Amino acid sequence: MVPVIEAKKLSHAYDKRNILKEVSLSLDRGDALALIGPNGSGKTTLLRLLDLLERPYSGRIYFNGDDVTRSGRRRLHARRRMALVHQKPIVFNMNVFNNVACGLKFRHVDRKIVHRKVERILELVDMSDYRNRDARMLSGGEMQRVAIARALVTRPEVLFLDEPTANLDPASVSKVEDILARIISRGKTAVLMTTHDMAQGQRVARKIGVLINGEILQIGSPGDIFFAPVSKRVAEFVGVENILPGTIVSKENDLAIVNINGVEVQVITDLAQSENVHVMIRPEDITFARTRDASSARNVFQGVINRIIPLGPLTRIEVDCGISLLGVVTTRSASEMELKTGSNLYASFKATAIHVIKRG
Amino acid sequence: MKISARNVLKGKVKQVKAGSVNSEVIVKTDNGTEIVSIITKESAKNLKLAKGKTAYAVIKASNVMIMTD
Repeated sequence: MVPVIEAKKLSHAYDKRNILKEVSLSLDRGDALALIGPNGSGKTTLLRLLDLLERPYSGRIYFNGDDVTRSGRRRLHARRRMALVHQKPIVFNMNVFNNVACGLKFRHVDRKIVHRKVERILELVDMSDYRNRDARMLSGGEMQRVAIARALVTRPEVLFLDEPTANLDPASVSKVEDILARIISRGKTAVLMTTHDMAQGQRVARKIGVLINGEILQIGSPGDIFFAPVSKRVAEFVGVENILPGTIVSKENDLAIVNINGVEVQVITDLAQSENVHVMIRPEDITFARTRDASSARNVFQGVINRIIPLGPLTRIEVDCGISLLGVVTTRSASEMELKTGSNLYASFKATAIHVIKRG
Repeated sequence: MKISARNVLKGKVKQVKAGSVNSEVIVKTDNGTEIVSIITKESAKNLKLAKGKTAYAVIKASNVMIMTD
């Protein structure tokens, strides 16, 4: 199958400052990819290149297999088959119905068909009751839904969304996410969205790409990205909080011992002995106990509580066990166990819960 | 046992199936629910897990997924 849109080694620079470095990606019909990355990582620039609003400094863009990197005529043809929804919703000074209808009117579509298509799309974004309202008087979330409807009504083969929920309140965010999930599940459009909210990437798309400093560092399922990040930079961005540098000192089958600052941690890895590694332990995989009971967890360390940070239903516990470990427990557990700063505690985690990557 | 995990389920070991590194351990609770656990072979040996032995399956609340039909 020829991908609907494909980028090959796209690089771009503004004022000799590199914004994108050899970015490659491709989307088939029905694919949904969420690009996550911090502000300034090049997400918007990448969308503007793919939406053919700007030409890349180097690299190629293909639309249904046609090279649309340079040729003006081909770019125009391809651009008519794409749509971009901006971070800040844009609506025109007219009612909701006409806002959504405008792409069809520009294409001289018959009035009856316009009516039918617009009504159907308004239903999809739950805005049917707003059809006669002045679009400029809507809330931010409603405006964004109108903008999405306007983008969809021309049946684009690729839908780009640039931080579509960045300025919205939580209720509007989940409304827009629901609509995006609906669009994706119809499988007719390739959807490429950017977000700086990793959880949103996970909620909406089946595939996530991590873009940091203009480079795509990893593309994969949410499970891959969150539980098996390929590098320290990806791990830090997706919120892995215990990233500990160490060295594999022994190995038997796949069970290895990593020396971290004098503390020996048991892990499952296929990396070899004497390899320098980063050991990653997700805070939710750490369990705390007052006493040392017989347990299958390979790693049990005694430590002292450094800090207790309640965060609503969950509480973060920082324990110094020779290595500093951050764990998360329910606030209920923390209070039942009467955890206090300075008191002793056992932290335990399974060897299989640890993700190990090469360091250096 | 004072532990931060919210779910501590008592049962009896129904089966220990050893792999190359890990063992699959099935714990059956009194009401018949079976819980499957993957632990290292070493741990299964240390805990002397064998069919019929009383054991506790410990699951953190944050690791429980919920689905509906």
